[in-house]
Amino acid sequence: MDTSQMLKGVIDVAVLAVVADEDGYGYDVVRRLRARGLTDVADASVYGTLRRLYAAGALTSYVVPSEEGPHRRYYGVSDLGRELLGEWCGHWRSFVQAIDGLLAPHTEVLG
Amino acid sequence: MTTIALTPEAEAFLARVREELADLPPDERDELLEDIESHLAEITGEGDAPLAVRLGSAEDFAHELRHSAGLPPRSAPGEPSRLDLARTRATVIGRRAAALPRRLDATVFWRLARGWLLAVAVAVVVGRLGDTRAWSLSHPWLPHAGLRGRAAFIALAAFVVLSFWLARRAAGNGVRIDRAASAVAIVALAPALLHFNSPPRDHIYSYRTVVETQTEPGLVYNGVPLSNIFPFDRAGKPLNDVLLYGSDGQPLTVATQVADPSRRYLVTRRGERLYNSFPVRYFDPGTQRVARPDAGPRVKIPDILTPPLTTQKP
Repeated sequence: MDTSQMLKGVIDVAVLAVVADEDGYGYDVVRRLRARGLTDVADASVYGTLRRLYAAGALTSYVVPSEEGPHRRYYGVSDLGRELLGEWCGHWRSFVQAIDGLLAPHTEVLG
Repeated sequence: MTTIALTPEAEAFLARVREELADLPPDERDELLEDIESHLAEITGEGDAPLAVRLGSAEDFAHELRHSAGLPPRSAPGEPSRLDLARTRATVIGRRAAALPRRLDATVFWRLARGWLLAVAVAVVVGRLGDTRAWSLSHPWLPHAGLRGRAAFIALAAFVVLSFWLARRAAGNGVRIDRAASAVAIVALAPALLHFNSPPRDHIYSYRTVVETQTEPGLVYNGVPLSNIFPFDRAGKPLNDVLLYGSDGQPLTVATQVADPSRRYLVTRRGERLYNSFPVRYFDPGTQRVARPDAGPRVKIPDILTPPLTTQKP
């Protein structure tokens, strides 16, 4: 199944979580999301999301010059970003439990 | 914005994304594009798959970017304004120009040319600009830095090898030295062009030297060939058919390269022409007659006090 539609709802929290682990530039965030299993994440979605979270004050940003290649804009999580992440964690637990409950009987049937 | 060398494909992709975002405020658009530009530079270095396969179409990419960034859909879809098109085109041209040195670096031609230019740079530093110490005289394209013949060729070959070696090293940590070498080579273009435009002055000098040391046939007075000699006696009377000889008995001649039919020669009984009789007289055209046997430069013979010398021989 194409998970890109599902990703749209959770891309913000996924990006926040990755950047909260460690500061990263756009492509770095894309790669880390994919490495964690979100293989369908689109490059453009991540860049757009980073800009939007930054504009909203959830992220900080700084440029790291590079001798070898392009300069990279790194993103880090701000205090507001950490607060949002905390809120999301609470919502996410109850959300996942609800969906799990809905899917549980069908999972057994299909399994 | 930083300028990054992108492949033509990536440039085209970026330009199309830029067009798609043309309606956004410039600052906002530039910030978005700056990240995308770095991204493109990075992913094009990773693999050979076309961008369209990895990122989808530029239009979809821009749409997704706009959507996820929480920006409104494109307000005026369709034709971008003329100004935007011109701007995009100018940006693409600017980028290509900026990327030119790096793209050149990748070519064998540039590595060869750079080797030669590095040799030029050293030769110009060792010798002087436009000096024979900087360039070979026998091979005007060969910078020789005071070396002669084969040594100059070997030095040039060494610089070419150095250029290739630096380019190979640039893939690792040697990129700075490689770029510095390219910069030196580009600077050395100026003296190289200057050299081909006007060869070293010593070339001309050596040419002149050849001319001057050549032996002029005939009589020369203060370096200027003489075409005639007009003898006078002490009373001021012009003399004809005076035979001149050098101290070792050789006739002093005014030879012409082609036998001149109008020149009056003294001819011996054996039929030989004498070239050392002066003044040289010329016949009137078509005749065997000299119209003015006493013609010559106007000279004023001063009053001479010294008594004449007489000779014994007839």
